Amino acid sequence: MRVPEEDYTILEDFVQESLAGVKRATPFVKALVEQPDREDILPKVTEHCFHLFHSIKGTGGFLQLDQLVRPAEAMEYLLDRIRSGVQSFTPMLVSLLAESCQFMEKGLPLLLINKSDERLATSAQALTAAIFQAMKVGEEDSWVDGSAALEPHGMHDTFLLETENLLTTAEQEFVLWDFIAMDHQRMEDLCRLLHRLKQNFALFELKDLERLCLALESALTRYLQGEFFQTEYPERVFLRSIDAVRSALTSITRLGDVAVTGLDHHLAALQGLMRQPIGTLLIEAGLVNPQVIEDALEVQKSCRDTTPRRLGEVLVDMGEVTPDQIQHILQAQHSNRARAAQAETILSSVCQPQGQPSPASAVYNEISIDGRKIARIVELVNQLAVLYQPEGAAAGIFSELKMLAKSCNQEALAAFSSRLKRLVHDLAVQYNKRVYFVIEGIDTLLDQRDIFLLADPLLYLLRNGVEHGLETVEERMLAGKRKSGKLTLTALQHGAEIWVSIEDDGQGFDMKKIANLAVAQNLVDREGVANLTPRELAQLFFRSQTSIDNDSQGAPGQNAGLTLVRDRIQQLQGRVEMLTRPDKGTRITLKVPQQH
Amino acid sequence: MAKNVLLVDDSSTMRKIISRSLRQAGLDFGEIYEAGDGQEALAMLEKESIDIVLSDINMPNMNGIEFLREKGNRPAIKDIPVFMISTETGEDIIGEAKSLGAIGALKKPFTPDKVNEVLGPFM
Repeated sequence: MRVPEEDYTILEDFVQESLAGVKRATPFVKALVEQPDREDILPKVTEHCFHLFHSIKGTGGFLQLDQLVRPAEAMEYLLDRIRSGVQSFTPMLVSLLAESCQFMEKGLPLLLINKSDERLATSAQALTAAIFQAMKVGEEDSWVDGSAALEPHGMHDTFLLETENLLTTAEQEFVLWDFIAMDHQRMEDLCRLLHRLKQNFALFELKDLERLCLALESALTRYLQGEFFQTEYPERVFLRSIDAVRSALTSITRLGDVAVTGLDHHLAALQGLMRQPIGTLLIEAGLVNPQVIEDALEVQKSCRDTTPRRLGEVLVDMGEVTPDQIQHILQAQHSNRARAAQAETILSSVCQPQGQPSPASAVYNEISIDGRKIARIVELVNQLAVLYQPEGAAAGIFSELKMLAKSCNQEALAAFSSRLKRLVHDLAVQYNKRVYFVIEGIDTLLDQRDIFLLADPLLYLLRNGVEHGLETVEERMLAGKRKSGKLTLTALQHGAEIWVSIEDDGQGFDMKKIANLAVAQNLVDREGVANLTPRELAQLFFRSQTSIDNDSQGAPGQNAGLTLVRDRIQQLQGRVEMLTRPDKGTRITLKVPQQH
Repeated sequence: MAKNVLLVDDSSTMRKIISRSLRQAGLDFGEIYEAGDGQEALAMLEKESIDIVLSDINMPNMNGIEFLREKGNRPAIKDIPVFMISTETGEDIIGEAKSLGAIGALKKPFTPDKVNEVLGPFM
């Protein structure tokens, strides 16, 4: 489009301003091209370049410079996804960012010469297409128009995969609620993520899901703005909503609306999360303005010691509202609470946590999420490479196969980790415990299938740690410990072995009862048991065949479960070691030979 | 009486475009002040006698939403009306701005006629 003469001055300012922005970004973008993992400059570059391309898009729009606006808009969209945590900066995307900066650096001066952006058309189109291709969002037109009708299959698949990623991240954050609720930045990131989810649902006109995400986002935003939750465990309501979204998505077979089962209950539960002070309700009802509430609070505060009064009474005395209006608002407050409580009761009884199939799996049937199968592929590829020692072109194929297998394994491990986190969270709810669960060194297992062979024993040990190892909040406080118990899963490679341990800071095993059990089962005599170290005694516990009749560590059937763990590990030519200290906790380590 | 206007946008070119559009729209206004982000805008509001603010949403340092929130906490300036001017059109972001006190929104790019139609009643 040719720029009209009366806009030449504006054009000149625009070019100078944009070139200055590009110049400021260039050294950092170059540094990223050389080292794409420069975490120290990534946020700064993302933020600066987002505003740069946003401005070019905005001002370019006024000057009708479409060829300049299109790549700027695409890059702005990409950078917004990156700063919202939806997408990561890959080397490919860094190259495209550098290319976009170069495009602006060379294209902007041409505008001053030609007073038009027509000469940029071909390169603008190619660059825009490359950016969208890299984002896998589909054709630019389908996004620009916000229309779901174009290229439905690709868009649909991309949508489901991206949605699943967003849901998984949101789920992980809610699982860690106790630790992120005080982290303002992380909460803001979570809000942005939910906002993105909502936008995705809006794009595909999935109205129920959009409403549910809006309610989730609103509750978090209100919390961020200083309001309070009126329940101790808001994350349970959030997680249930995330499960409901997942569950609804599994019914998608083609683009079209899907219904969320029990939507009204979920919405009522979310809306009922926030404490709604009478002042807020009066303002929302349009009966008073915020200044009146502030004044009334001042009056209430000034006479707190002499004649304590409720806020409603103060407002009535001030003549701002009538007793009937206060009564009406109190009833509304009460009925909100009652509706939320009713929804909570219904949802608690019908919603089953855990085990929700991923929406992506509904479409990607060819991609198994069974980690054991993926692990088997990795193993077979490795064995083939050893057997045939391929050369030339075959070596290239084997190398790519290994990379693909590794990548699949990586994704399977990530999914396994998040599943474990959710499991521990739900166990904590089930057994009324507070648990801070940490996974360390899981990447150690990237090249193996051990983690999947160890899955059953690990799940058992985690359950055991939450159920028996860690104390309830009240018990921990009485013992002078932190409210939240810590449960740690650590994986590490030690020589030719893989060591995976589950450690808790709970009550430890009751060694006296283990000693009695060992004597009762004739594993050792009473004189011998006195000479055993705690470690030796713990090993005996694994050898015992019957249960101990108490409910501390060493609960009914508990050692039977541990015996199963031991048997499974022995099948893998491994061994189990246990270290336990009263009131300090327990560490159980599975040591198995590395498999290649 | 002609109203004093504060334009808030990180792009100085955009501020010029908006300023020119106000003139072309034939609106009766007094002084035009400028700020590059929300922080500068807050300082300007406390220093100058400003009747209406036209603000972008996406800005570095302090964006339009944060600006509205912070302005709402300052009794001396909280009642000065703010109009959002942005490429953002999502109902949620505009809804959020309105819930924080914004009196309206105008989507970029706009024509002088549109400016007259939308901003006229407030000038």
